[in-house]
Amino acid sequence: MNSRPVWLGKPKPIAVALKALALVLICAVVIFPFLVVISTSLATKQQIDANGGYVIWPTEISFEAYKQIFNGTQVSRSIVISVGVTAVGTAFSLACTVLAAYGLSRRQSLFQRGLLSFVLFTLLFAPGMIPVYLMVKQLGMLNTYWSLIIPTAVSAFNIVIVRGFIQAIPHELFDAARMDGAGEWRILRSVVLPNSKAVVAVVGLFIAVGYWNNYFGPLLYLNDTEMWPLQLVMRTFVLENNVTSNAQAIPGYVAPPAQSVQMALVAIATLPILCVYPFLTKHMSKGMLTGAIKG
Amino acid sequence: MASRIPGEGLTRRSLLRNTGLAAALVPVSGVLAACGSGSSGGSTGGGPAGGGQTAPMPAYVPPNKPKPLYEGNAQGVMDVYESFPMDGPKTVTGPIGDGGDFNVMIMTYGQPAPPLNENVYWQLLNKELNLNVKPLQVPFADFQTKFPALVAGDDLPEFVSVPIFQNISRLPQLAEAQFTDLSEFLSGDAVKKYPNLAGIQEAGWLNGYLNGRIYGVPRSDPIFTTQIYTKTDVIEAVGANPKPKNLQEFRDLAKAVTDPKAGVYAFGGNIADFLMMMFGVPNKWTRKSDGTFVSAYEHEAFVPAIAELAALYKSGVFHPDTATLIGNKTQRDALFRSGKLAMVHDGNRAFGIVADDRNLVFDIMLPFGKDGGDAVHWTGNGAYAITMIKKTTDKKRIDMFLKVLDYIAAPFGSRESFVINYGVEGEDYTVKDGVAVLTTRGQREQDLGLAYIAGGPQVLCNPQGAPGVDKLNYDWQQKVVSTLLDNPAAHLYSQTFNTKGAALEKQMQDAIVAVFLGREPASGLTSAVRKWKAGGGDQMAREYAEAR
Repeated sequence: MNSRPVWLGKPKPIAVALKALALVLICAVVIFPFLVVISTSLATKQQIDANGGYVIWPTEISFEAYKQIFNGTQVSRSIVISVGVTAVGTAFSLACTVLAAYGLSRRQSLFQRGLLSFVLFTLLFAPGMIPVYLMVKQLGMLNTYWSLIIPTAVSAFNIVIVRGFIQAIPHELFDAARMDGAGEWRILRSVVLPNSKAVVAVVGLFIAVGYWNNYFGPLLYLNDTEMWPLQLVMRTFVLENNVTSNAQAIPGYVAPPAQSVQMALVAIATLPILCVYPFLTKHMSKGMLTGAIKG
Repeated sequence: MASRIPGEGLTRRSLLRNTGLAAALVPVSGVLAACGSGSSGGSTGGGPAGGGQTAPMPAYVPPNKPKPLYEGNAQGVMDVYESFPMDGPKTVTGPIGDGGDFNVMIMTYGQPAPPLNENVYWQLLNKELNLNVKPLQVPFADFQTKFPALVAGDDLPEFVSVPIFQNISRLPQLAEAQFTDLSEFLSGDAVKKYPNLAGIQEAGWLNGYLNGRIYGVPRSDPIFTTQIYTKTDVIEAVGANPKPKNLQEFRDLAKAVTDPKAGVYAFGGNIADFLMMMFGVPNKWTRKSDGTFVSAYEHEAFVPAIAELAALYKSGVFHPDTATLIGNKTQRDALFRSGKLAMVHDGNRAFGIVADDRNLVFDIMLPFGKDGGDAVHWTGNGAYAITMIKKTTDKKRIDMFLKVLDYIAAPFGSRESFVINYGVEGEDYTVKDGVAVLTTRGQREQDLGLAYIAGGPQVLCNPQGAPGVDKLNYDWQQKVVSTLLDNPAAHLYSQTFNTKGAALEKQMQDAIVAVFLGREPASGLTSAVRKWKAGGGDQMAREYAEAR
């Protein structure tokens, strides 16, 4: 079936070929790093050395790097922790963000202007590391998973994005809902959220990626290594083989093939986000354009 | 001997004057205030010469260790062992811990160790020490981030191991406010109560001195810094001379081994230090006869050495990816192992290459002067870390702390050292042909990091490395030891270095790399040095002179 509009002429073969080539090149640029990551993670030390550090296609498949990562290390536990923190954190953050954005989008809300100014004011200053640490400590959250969620739960930027989207929903819908006797909670649930799927998906993805990639918070707030999430454990793997320390070696200790382990970790850490992405892409373009084309 | 003790002659008044303590102690001010009466008097431990006076160096008593294959020496040449002795002497007697918690902050290079209930190595250590060891592990790259937060929150554990190279802000003031002066327990003959601590050499102890008092027990480090490893098979394949004796021969070697079509290059990283040592540039600072300090950046050979580096780069003997390889040891190592780099500049132990690869054919280049003759070889700090105990007047607690460190500092080959390195037989290690070999589990469990917090001289023992690696290194050390050149400011305190040193050093390293990679002319270094001096270099020189 040809879906081209009738007013468009038939494209020249050379134009089609050039477009196809451009698309292939763009895809190659995106896919190539992933290919190198996966291939290097599955290559033997000998092949990695022979190729000078990276492998495009492994001649011999070796799962040694993955075995090292999962054998007696904290990676399995840290994946569960990361998934848990990301899921709970994203749900909590989205709830806070949508509630705040809805409240601040209604002019009749109590102290709406003052509260909005207060939220916007926080965009001007980033809190220092030490003050935030002291705040987390005062709240008794050190060495708890809440320390990874509460301090970053609400972002003024996300609130502004979601508020803008909600404001774009036609007023008539709100009026109709009110005439039908809906209260604020009902309007939020039955009018606002169904019409805001795109922005919720996009902001939710931003938030989830933020929680998933967070290593700085755990580093500061979690002293117990058993509680470390994947990104922090991964960092120790990456750092492990890239030092010129003179600290005493233990006779008999054989260093792991560094590059393959690092690449295997990249693959493991990227996989969950890659899995989520396809389900959100349909909302992405609409969500990303929110505000950008608002006249 | 005593004249080398850092801070000798330094009074508390001069320390405060130099450091601007009252105005500057922002991050630790709350902590200082919280110290109450303990902080007003400074040293609680006193010392043989009284509080505030320089503590004498701990006595040195050679440790009780198995006979090495090749004997090191007091100048820093390391003992060589073929493998870890299986029947070493017991060096610690009597009870150590009190069965309580031992909360210790440790900087680690590895992954987090498996939790206690799954970690037989940790359980064994707890049993050996009669303690419940609770490590607070901090990855080395994040130490500068985590440490200030813990100080600000007054959350430092009772025992803290501080890496020397991390240049912790205002460490002397922090030590005086928060940590115990150990001089009374370690100075002079007092250290003999802890025989393994008495086996730590002066180069290590110098790092434990803060404000002229002993606050930390060191983890000794080799005195040698960096060297060039050569891939002899690659060099011999092109018929080049692998042992150059002067700059011209060095240039010829680099040119001969470089073959861009085959993807082989002489170098892939920054060899500025090697060239500076070849050109006779001093180790960071020079102390003149009148007591003033002059930076190595002001030395007449500094700019020519970097200009030579830039000329080598321009001649095409460096790998095209050098700009990124400078900070990527993993990839540099892979290129060296595969013969794509004929030479690599690395630390004295060169983990990841010669110490870990049985199949590597290599040699270590002897340093030489630009026009032939001897080069200088810069020394390191002599210690990797110091471990301190939070301020207490409880002598029993201090004694327990030192007994624990005495156990951990047991010399290579002793029974205690074996336990720390290998853990539980059958779980953490197996014995193969009479030699202990770590299992995968053992490798993960010993990431606990206790071995990093105290210790005497290290040794060369890499049975898993390239054949002959330790003898080669030993021979190299024997020849280089006479050319060692200390940094006269290594153990002196400069407030400017402490607060601005890292930023100033980065500024200079960026300028060196810019000239190296041809982004700036060598003449740009002159203005970079001027900026460095105005930005704090001159002030550092003044502070080092006063600190003497």
